[in-house]
Amino acid sequence: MRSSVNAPMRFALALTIAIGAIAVSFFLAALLHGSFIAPHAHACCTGNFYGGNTTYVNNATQVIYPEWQNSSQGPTCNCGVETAMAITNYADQVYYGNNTHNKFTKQSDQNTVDSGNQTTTAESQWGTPMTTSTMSKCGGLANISKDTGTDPRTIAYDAYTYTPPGYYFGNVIYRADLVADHPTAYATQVAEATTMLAQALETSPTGNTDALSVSVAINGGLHSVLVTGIFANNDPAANWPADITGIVYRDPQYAFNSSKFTVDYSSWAQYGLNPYGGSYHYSLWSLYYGDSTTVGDGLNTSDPEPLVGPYTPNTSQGHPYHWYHGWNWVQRITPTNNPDLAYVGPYKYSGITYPLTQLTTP
Amino acid sequence: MRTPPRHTRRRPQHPQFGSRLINVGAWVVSGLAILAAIVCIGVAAAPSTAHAQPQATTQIQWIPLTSTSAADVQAAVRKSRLLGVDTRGAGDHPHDLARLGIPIAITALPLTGYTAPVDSFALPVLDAKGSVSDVVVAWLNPDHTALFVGYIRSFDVSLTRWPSLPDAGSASATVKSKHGINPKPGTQPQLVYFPFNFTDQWRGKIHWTAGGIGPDDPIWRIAGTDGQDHFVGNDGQAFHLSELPLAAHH
Repeated sequence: MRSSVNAPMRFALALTIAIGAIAVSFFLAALLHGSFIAPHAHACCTGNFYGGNTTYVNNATQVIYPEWQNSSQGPTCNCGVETAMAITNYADQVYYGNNTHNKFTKQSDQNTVDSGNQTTTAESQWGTPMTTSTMSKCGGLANISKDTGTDPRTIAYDAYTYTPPGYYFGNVIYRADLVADHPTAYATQVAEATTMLAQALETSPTGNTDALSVSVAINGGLHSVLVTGIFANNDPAANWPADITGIVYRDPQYAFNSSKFTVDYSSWAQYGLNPYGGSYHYSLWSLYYGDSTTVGDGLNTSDPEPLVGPYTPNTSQGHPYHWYHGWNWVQRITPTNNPDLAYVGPYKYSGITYPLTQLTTP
Repeated sequence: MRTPPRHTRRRPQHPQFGSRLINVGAWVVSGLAILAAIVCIGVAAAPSTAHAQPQATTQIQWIPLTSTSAADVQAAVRKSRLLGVDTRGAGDHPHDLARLGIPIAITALPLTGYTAPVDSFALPVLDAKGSVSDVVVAWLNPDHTALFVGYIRSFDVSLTRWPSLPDAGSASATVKSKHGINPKPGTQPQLVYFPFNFTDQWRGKIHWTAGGIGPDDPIWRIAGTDGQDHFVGNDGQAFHLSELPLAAHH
């Protein structure tokens, strides 16, 4: 039987099918790559947001930022302590459903948290690296290193101690030797570390949807900030490394209303926040933890490695570094994890999901 | 009278052959498209490969500047990826970057022995009421022919005034009253930032709040008749160069 459709019409029909197939393929490709997972994803943007709520963050930081000064103590080094306090106030809002039960209500509460290391009952189960009289005055609970301010393990323990029941926090570490692909290029390492950090903001390990902020050590460990969100072109939970375009953090050295910085990814990973005099002056993650002026120099004497406990570096046992030659932060962990231990993950690489895993102890 | 179909006059000598050719071609195109679609989906569904490389955003995004006019600087800044992030919703991010204000040149204070002085433009972002909700910092290359948007500083409670400094005339008057020095004739106060000693601030050795730490928080530089630079911070105080907390240079 002869078709009633003539040749040009058939050509048009076939062309329509072809274009349709291409359009569907692009849609499915994008879907499989995670571009459409965020509710706000659309063609306008160079990054979808994964992170916390502005009102919650403002409520958490408003009365405790910036770093506290008093006549007897002089200038302070409370950045790490402040991030733990802000995490606590954020968790209080999530837990109680309002802003009236925040644990910390004034700047001087920083002193209360600082002095946590002044009694032996506050020591880590691993012991203490120095006598009470020589402790950092900005230490907080359970120091394990001779840090000028506070160390990452302490921030985890502070957050765990002061947050409501059911909230656990741990020190998560990224080093190239700890992940499956062992990348050698610094650019790849920092991209993977930032992806792992982004996952902490994207998902809660307890299944809640609240994106608790993360306390992140920057500038070779000299400073800590509260990372509250990231921008990415694809889903950090499904891409390794993800295409991250920006990072949002609150700097505790400023009052809450001027503490929010949104930095381009290349500032975060390479250029630094302020390049004058060398990017190491405000390096963000363009240096490893423990570095001073160049990648891998390990010359930051203010933020040394642990001095007590199972993570104290021991080269002869094949454990030369703990925090050094990588990056670390404090994030929410599950009740089955232990705030006194360190972790790596989670991440998804080559189709395999690697869960949050306790670092082996020598 | 019935009019014959127009196409009967234009039909070629071998109409069936031509029609088949078109049909075959069309279905070939269609088949290739479907094949391409399958390949495309397959590539997308494949897991990340070993030793995946960082995405293009790792690279510093230098955007060419046609000139340093306000319009050209604004146009270049708008092309940056940081200005293109999704600002909708209640997330802790900048919330509306649509209204870019006039760019203000913030110069790196020239100092002997310090490397990489990077000049910049800072652009206030205005909210619907005309207050300042954010400041965009764009670094300039040495030739000032390209810029890179490094960061945005946000104020969840908008500022009625930015920079938070006395005006230029008041700053000059402050230098005269506090240091007893007049501005050098023929010079104008200049907005600058300097290589701040972040390390000592974070170690708790100093506590500096007068500004000049970065282009988002500049201070005034006033050339005096004594041949020295004088500075006025956001606290309204006058400073000599020796009083600025400069980073150690390497």
